[in-house]
Amino acid sequence: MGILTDETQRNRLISLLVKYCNKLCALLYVVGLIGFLAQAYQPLNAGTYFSENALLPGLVETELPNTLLSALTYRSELEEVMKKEPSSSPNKWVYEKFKNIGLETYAQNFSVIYPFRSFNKKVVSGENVYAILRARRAASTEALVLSVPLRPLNDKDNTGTGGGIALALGLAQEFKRKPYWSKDIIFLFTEFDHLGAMAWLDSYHQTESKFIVGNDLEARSGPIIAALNLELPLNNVKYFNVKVEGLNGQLPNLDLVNLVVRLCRRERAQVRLHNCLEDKSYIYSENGDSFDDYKKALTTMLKMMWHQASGTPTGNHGWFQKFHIESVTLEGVVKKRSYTIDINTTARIIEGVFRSLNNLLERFHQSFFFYLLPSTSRYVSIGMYMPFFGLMALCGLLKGITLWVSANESSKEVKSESNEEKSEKVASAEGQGDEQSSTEEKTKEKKEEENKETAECIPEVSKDVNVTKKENVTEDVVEESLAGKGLISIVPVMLVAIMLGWMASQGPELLTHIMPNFRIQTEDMLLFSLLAIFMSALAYPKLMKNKGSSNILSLDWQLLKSVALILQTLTFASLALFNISLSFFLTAVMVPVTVVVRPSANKCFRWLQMFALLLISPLSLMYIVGLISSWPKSSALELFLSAYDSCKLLIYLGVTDTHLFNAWTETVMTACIFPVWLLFWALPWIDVPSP
Amino acid sequence: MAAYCCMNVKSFLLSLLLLFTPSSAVGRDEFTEELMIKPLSGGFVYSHFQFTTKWNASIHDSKTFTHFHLFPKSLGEVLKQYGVQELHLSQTQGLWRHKLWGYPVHDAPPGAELWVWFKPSVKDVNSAWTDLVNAVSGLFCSSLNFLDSKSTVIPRRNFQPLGVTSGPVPRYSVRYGSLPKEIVCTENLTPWKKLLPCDSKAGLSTLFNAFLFHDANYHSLGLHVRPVCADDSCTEEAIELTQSLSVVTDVISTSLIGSPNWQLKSLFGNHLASYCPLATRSLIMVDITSNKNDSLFKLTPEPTITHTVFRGQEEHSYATYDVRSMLQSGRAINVGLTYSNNQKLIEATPPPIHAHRFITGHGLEDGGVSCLISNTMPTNQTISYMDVLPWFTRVKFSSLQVTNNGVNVPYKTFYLPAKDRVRPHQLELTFTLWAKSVTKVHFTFTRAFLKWTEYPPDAHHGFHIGAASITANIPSSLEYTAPGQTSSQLSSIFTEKPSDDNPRFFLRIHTETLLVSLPTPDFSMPYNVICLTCTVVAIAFGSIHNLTTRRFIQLDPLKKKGLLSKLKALVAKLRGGQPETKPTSETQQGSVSDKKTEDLVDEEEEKS
Repeated sequence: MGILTDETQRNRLISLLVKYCNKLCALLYVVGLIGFLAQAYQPLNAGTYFSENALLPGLVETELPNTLLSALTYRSELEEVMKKEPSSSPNKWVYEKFKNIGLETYAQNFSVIYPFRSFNKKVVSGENVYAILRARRAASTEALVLSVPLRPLNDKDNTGTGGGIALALGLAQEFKRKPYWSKDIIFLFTEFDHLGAMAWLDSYHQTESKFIVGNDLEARSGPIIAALNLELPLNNVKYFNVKVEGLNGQLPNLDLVNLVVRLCRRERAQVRLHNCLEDKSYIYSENGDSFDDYKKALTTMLKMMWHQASGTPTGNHGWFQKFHIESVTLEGVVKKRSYTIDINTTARIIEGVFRSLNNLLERFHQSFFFYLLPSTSRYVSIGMYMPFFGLMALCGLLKGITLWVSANESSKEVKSESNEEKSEKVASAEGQGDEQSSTEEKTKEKKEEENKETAECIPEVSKDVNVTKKENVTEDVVEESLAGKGLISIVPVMLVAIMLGWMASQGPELLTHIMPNFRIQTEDMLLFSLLAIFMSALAYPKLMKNKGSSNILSLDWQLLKSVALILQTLTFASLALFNISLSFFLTAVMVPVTVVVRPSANKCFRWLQMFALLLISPLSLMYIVGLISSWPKSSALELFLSAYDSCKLLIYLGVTDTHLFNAWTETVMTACIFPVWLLFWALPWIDVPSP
Repeated sequence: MAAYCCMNVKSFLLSLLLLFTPSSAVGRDEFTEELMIKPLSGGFVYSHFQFTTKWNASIHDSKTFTHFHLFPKSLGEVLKQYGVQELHLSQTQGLWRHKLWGYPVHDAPPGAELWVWFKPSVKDVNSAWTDLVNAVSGLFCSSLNFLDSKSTVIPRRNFQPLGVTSGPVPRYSVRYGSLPKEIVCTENLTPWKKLLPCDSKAGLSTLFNAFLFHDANYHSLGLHVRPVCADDSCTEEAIELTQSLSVVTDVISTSLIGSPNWQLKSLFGNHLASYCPLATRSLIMVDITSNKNDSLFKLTPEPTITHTVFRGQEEHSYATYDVRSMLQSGRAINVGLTYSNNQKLIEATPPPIHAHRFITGHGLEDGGVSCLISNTMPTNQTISYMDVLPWFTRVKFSSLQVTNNGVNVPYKTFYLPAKDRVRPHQLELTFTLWAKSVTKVHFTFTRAFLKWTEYPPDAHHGFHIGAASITANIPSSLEYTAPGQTSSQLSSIFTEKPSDDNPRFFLRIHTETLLVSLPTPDFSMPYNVICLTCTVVAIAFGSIHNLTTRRFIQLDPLKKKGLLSKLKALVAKLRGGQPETKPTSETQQGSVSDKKTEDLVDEEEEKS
C-alpha cells in the first residue's frame, strides 16, 4: 500500500523518530528560540503601515490656534487648585470647568468592595466626571473617548496627569466649535485610575460587576469606537511613551498605534516604547542591521513582551480593550532641564488623532490585532512569530508522541509476552539490549505475515469490506483496552494534580473566608495560603507512594510523561493564541526541563531534576519575576527581600485582578500550568529498577 | 379697439370657465405660515416653521381631489390613489434631546419615519402601503421605498389616528415604518418646499437656507395630512396639511465671538422682507416663557402683541409679530434676542417625561436594549411604549423586564416575534411610570448571522435600529410646545379653550436610534483564502493522493503477462510491425499496473 497505509514505511518513520527524538527536540527548541528572538532583527521584520485608508493621518489642516491659550490658563488654574488640596483629586474643578464650557457634564459615583475578607476591610469610593460633546450632525450613534485619570498631587506612585486635564479642557473648548464631528466625543476623567475606568465602562455597557459598583450613568452616547488615554504631567514633557498592552495581553489594532506614532513624528515629538530610545536609522529602516541596533530592538521587544505577559494593562487603555474598544495610552515622561514638548504640539497631536478617528467609516478591523513591536515603527506579525513559537512547542509534543508510541509498543510487547511466554523467557534471558532488537524482529516478522495476509485478501476485499471493517474495530477495541490499562494507571495522579490546581485557583478565596480573623495583611494571607497549598502539593507523590501497596508509583512513567507533555503543549499552544508573550516565556523556561526530566535510579540525577523542576514551578517563577522586576539593588540581601515583596504584591494584584477585572493570568497559572507541572513533579519520584 | 374687444372676450370666457368649475373646492382653502422661535438652554435656539393648509373638503369624498387650489396637487393625487386617510412623514437629521430642549412641536426620530392610516374602504392594505411608499419616496427624493415588510409593523395600541374619524376604524389599516439610517439633505428640502403655495419665493420660506440648516444640531422636515373638523360644531370635515421644518441652532458655537445673542439674520442668513400673499396669516412668535419679568433677555423690535396663556397649570408667554402689518410699514423684519448677561443663560428644565435608550453589553454574540424612562411629575403616569427591532437582533422575550428602582412594574404587552427576513420584532407595552422616578425597560437579544449578500456592499458603521416611541397623555404642559388636537396652527394656542379643568396634552416622543455591529466577515479575506486553497488543492491534492494511496509493485518481466499488456503488445505489433520492447530492468516501478490493482485504486477513490 501507499505511504499512509503502509505499515512498514510508517514503522520505519517511527523508529527513526524514536532514534533521533532527543536530538530533534534539542534542534527544534534551539531553532525556535533563536528564530523567535531573531524577529527583532530589522531585516527580518516589517515596517508598520496603515491598512485602514479612512484614517488619512495628518492629511487634515490643524484648526487649532498657534498657541492654545485656554489650555495654558487651565493649566495654571489647575496647578493652584491642586496645590491647595494636594491630597484630593480635582473632580469638582473639572466638573465645573466642563459645565462652563457648555458641554453636557455628569458625575458618576462608584465604590469598590475588595473581594477578600481582611482585617483592614477597604471600601474605596470615588467619583468619575465625564462630559459629552455631541456631534452636531449625528444622532449620537457612535463615540470616541478621551480619558484622563485624575490623580492627587501627592500621589507618590504615579506621575501627575494635570497636563492631560488642562489639554482636554482646552481641546473640548475648541472641538465644540467645529461642525465636522461625526462621532460624539466623551471626555472621561476617572478617579483611582483603573477602578474608576472600570466602573464607568461597566456602567456604560451595563455589565454587572460584583466588586466594582458604579451608579447608573445619566447620559450615554452610542458604541465607543476608540479611546485615547492621556497621562501627561503638567510640565516638562521630554518624550512620549505609547503604551499598548491591555488586559490579558490584548493589544489594540495596530492601525491605532501607528496613527498615534505617526502623528507624534509629524509634530517632531519623540515617541518611544517603554522608554527605549530609538535610533533614527532604525526608524527609517536605513542601516538598522548592525548588532547594536538589534540589541536595542530586542530589548524593546522583550520589554513589550514582558508587560504583555503580565496580563495587566500598562495604563487605563487596557480596560477599554475588554469592551472591544481600541485604545492606547500616551504617556508624557518628565525630564527637567532639557528640551520639552510644548503643550500646543501635544494639542495638535491629539487633534490629529481625533480627526483621523472621526473619518473612520467602520470599526477597526483592517490591521493586526496580534503583533510584537521591536520599535514603534517596526512590527512582527503573528504570521512571523507563530511558526518559531510552534517549533518550540513542537519540541515537547514530539517527545510526548514518541513516548506515547514507544509506550504503546511496550504494551504490545506485554501482549505478546502473555501469548508467547516461552519465547519471551528466552528473550528476557538474552538481556535488555537484545530484547528490544529481538522483539523488533518479531514484530517485523509478524507484520510481514500480516502484509502477506492482506495481500492475499486484496482480491476479495471488495466482497468482504464489512468483515475487515469489523476486524479493524475489534482490533481497535483491543488496543484501546490495552492503552486504557496504561491510562488508568495514571488517572489517579492526574486527578490529584487537577484537584490541586483547582484548589490553588480557588483556595485563597476559600481560605480567607474559612480562616479565623488573623491580624495579617491580605497580601501576606494570600501568599501564605498559596504557599501552603504549594507545599502540600509538593508532597503528593510521596503520599501516594506510601498509600496501600509498596509500589503504587511504579506506574508507566513513559505514559505519564507523554500525557503530561501533550497536555503542556496543548496549554501553551492555546495560551499563545491570546497571550503569546506569556506563552513564549513559559515555553522557553519550562520545556527544556520538562522534556529532560525522567525517573532515575541515580540519586544525584534525581535530586538535580527535582531542583530544576522546583525552579520552574509557578511559585518560583513568580519569585523570579519579582527578582527581575526589582533588579538593580545594591546588595544581594536587599535584592532578595525586595523581590519577595514584589512577588507578594504580584500575587496579590494577580488575584484581585482576577476578581475585579476578570483577568486570566492568575487562573492560567494556578488552574492550568500548576497541574501540568505537578504531573512532571511526580516523575522523579517514580522508582525504576537500577540497571 | 380690436384689442379691447379681444380682452372683453377673454374675460368673458374666463368668467364662463369659473362658472362651470365645481364650486366645492374653490375658495375653501386657508393657508397660514408661522414661525415659532424658542430660545433653549445652553444657547440653543429652536426655530419651527409651520405651513398649514386647511381645505374644507372631505378626504372621503371621491370628488375632492379633482380640483386643487392651494393644496398641492402632486400630494393630493397620491392620497387619492392609495386611499389614504392620514399620513405622517418626518425626515430628520440629528437627535432631539428632550432633557435639555423640552418637547418639539412634532417629535421625530433620527432618519425617516412614515405612518399612514388607510381608509376603511381600502381592501388590500399591504399592497396599498407598498405602492404608497414608492410614490412618497419619489415625491420627496428619499429612500422610503426601503420600507418593506422587514421594517413595517401594524401598531396595535400606538399610533392611533390623530384626526377626526367617523366611527371606529379597522385596526389593521395602519402601517408604521422607519428608516433610522436615512440621511436628510437638500435634495429632500427642495421637493418638500415645492409643495408650499409660495414655494420659497415669498414669505417665511424665504428664510430657508439649506447651508445653515444642515449645519445645525437638529433639523427635521415634517408633513402631516389628517382630516379635521371644519368648524367648532364639527358638522363638516376638512383636510389639514401641515408642513413643518424644525431647526435647532447652537448659537454660541456658530457665532464667531461665542455670543448667545441672535437675530433672524444670524440664524437664517437673511432678513424677512416679504410675506406670502396667499397666506391668510403670517406670524412670527417667540416663546418667552423662560423670560420671567424680562430678567434674562430682551427682544428687538418690540413685539406686535404678547400673549400669555395658561395651559393646564403652566403659564406660557409668546411674543408675536404680525409679519404682514409690520412689512406694510416698509421695513424688513429682523427679530433679535439679546441676553442681558451673556454668562446667565436659560437653564434646562427636564420635561415631565423623557427617555434614554441604549445598547447594553459588548461583544458580537449577545446584547441588550435598555430604555430608562423618567417621570419628573409628582403624579403617576400611564404610557405606551413601542419598540420595533429588526429580525437579525433575535429578541428574547423571556428576558423582558420593566423595573422601577429594582421593583417589577406590572405591564400589559403585545409582542409579535420576528420572522427571519420577513418581519421585525414588534413590542408594545403599556405600564405606569411612578411619580418622580425612573422606570427601566430591558430585554436581551442575540445577534444573527447574515447571509453574505445581506451585508451592505460598502464600509459600514453597523446596523441601525429604529427609535422606540413613547405615547402618553400628560397633565402638565411644562416645556410643551404643540398646539391642541383640534387645530395644528400654532396660533390656535392663544385661542385654545380648555375642555375641562384638568386638560391633558397628547405627547409622543422618540428615543435614540441604536447602532449594533453584527459579526461581519472580512470580505476581502475569503476571496484570498479561496484562491489560495483552491490552488493548493488543485496542485497538491492529486499527486499526494496518488502517491499515498497507490500501490507500487515490482514487475517481473519473466512472469506471465496480463491480458491487457498482451493486447497492447498485439496492437503495437499490428501498427508498427515491431513488438514494443520493454525495458528489462527488474526494478521498474508502477509504469504498468495490472488491471486488478487499477480497479482497486478506483474503488478506494470512490470510497474516499
